[in-house]
Amino acid sequence: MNHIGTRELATERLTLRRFELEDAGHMFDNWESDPQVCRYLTWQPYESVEQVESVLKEQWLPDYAKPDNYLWAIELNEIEQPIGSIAAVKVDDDIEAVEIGYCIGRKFWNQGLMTEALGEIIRYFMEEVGAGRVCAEHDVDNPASGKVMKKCGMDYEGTLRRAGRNNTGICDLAVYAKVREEMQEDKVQELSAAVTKTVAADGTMRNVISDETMEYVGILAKLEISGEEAQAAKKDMEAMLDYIDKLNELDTSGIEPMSHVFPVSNVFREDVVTNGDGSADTLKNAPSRKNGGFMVPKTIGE
Amino acid sequence: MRFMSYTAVELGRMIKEGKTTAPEVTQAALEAVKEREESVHSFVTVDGEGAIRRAGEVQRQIEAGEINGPLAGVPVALKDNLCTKGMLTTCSSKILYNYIPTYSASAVRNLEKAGAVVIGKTNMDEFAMGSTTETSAFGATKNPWNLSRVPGGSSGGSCAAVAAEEVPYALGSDTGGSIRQPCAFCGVTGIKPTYGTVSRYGLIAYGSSLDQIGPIAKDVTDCAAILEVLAGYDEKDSTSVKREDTDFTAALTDDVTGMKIGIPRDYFGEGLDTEVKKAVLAAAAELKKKGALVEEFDLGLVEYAIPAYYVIACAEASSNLARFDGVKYGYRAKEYEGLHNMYKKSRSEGFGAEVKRRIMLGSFVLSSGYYDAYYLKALRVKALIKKAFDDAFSRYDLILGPAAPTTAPKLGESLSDPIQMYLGDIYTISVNLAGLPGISLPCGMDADGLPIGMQLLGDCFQEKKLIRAAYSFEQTRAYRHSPAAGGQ
Repeated sequence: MNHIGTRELATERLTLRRFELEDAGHMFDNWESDPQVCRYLTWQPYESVEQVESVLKEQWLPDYAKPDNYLWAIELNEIEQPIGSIAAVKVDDDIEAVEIGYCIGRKFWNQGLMTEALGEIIRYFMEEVGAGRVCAEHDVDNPASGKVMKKCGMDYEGTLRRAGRNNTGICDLAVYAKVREEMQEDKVQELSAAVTKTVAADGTMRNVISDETMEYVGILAKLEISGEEAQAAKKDMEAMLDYIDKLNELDTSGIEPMSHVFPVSNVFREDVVTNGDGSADTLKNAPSRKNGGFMVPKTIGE
Repeated sequence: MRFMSYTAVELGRMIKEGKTTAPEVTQAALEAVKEREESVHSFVTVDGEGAIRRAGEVQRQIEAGEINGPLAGVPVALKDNLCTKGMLTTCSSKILYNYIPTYSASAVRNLEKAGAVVIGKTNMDEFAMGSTTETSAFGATKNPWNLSRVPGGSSGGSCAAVAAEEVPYALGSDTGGSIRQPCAFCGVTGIKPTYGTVSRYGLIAYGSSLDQIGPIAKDVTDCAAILEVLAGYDEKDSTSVKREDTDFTAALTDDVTGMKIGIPRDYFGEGLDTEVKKAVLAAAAELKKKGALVEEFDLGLVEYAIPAYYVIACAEASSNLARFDGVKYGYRAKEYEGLHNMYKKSRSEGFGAEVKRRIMLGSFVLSSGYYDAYYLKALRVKALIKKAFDDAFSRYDLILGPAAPTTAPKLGESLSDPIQMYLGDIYTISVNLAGLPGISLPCGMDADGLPIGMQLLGDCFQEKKLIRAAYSFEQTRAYRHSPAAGGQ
């Protein structure tokens, strides 16, 4: 992973930033003194602003010097106050995994704020830090936390029994995670093709393709084109679509799409080997091979 | 003896009669290749040693009476998208620069069973995407009639090899005119059979619903004899058609009496070169003189074939070419980060511009939101085009027209404007959409000394009518040898 530490991030309603000493008062008021917020946490509610201040001064603020320290104050833009925290509570470089922990003041529950924060943090770790796995755990008695994880697209992986301790005692922990491959699939689904039609100077309709559409088509086509080549490809595709639009002159209502001229049907045969073992010759063509198999770049636990 | 100036069937006969031998003819082909390759560049791969060895084996089999077909012992060149066991098969693409198939295409096996001697693989537009053979990753092929002209494409290497008389015959593939158009530009004869007639097993796919393998040779007799060997049902191709009437050489008769030939007015309008028009209409007049009933008619929908074709062919190509990912064979990028990046980089570096253009367009027209508007629309238009041909063939035995709007363009002039290049396929492309057979054969020369090709189209499974009419026309005109082959 490429550790870059706690950087400021923005979402629709929130700013995720580093804590400052001046935050102590709001932290105390908004969540750190509330036993109900701390019920499923591993630390006791704080008893005074000074206590918060000393933790900030002695531990949290100095820790920001470490590049693999990730601890954000969740500031609600509307009131310009921190309302909770979100952090990487475990960082495992070997398997490129990060575990996230978070809490938020009671007044701010059920407004989708934590979902907004967690979603952005997952993106940050996946895209900017290069994590392959971002996970989080919650006490099974605190299902609200699991809902946040689910909404952020993390998948439930299982429950570890008697695996944690919080202010309620020893507890069972439900584990949720998102992994890199899923992130890439989501990206494809988020993007979609968009073509707009405009009227050119000569009165004809012209197709205009956005850069995002080209990026999306690049993902579908598994082609990486950039710079001049991308611009040329876009121009070519727009011209082709203009040309293809000619088909719209034809009324095809009631006409069945014809994929093959003759009827085609599946051809079956017995599932027996007829061509012998050609694996040695087949493997000779492989760009990279090992122990009778095709070698590809490491895909799991990179 | 200048063996390469003979037709394949003539050479087969000479070998059978003991006037020469398969090794002798193969040697002559290899010498012709050696002499002409530098100027014409028809080949990607030449396997001289393998060919000589194979010719020796075939000669023994002929002498032992084990094979006696008309092509036994005759050398052949294969378009480089046909898989050949143990012989480099590149599709003229960097992404397959080192691919050695572990099996041979069914069409190639059929030829080999008939005693063919494969001497090498011919150049083509990369993955058969192009009309000039200039998109090859291994350099352009030159037209044997004029080395500053393109040979056409995508089977440009095969057609040039035949016209330059490096080999007596070759195989090509035709997805939108890729046999018929380069045949016209190179002054040779080729057939695009009815879809399903020749197995596509082992043909590296471009547009699976359109691709057909076919013969390229000096005359109709050769083409009929070759197609007879190629055709046949193959369980390894799910679109292979069972048909009985594949004795194509039986149709080699000089008789078109009573045959009804339609000339689509739509094929003779704007964009058609006047010299080409004149030559094709003169050919129609010849057929009329021989007793055919020739009349003009309106085919319709001609201008919709190209846009429909590009949607369908590119859609299929984007799917077919997904297999080239740098894992099991071919090119793999040197630097990458992780699996997905390896796929992307290998493909981006391995494919040329035209191939990428078509994969991108194909991916787009199949993407959600555009599938109906583009892909299904094109398939509906395809159904309309098929119906227009059905109507035409209810009235006519054959359709006659030009194979291409012009003669061969100069090298380096076509690729800058893709749509203009695509328009050159206007007379050939609808045949693939409708699954029809077509034959392209020379019918004249233009003022620049370049060959003009005409095209006869038939209804599905009516190759015999095509062959009969083409053979009859051919009797009115002597074969012309290209300058590269020592002709005039």
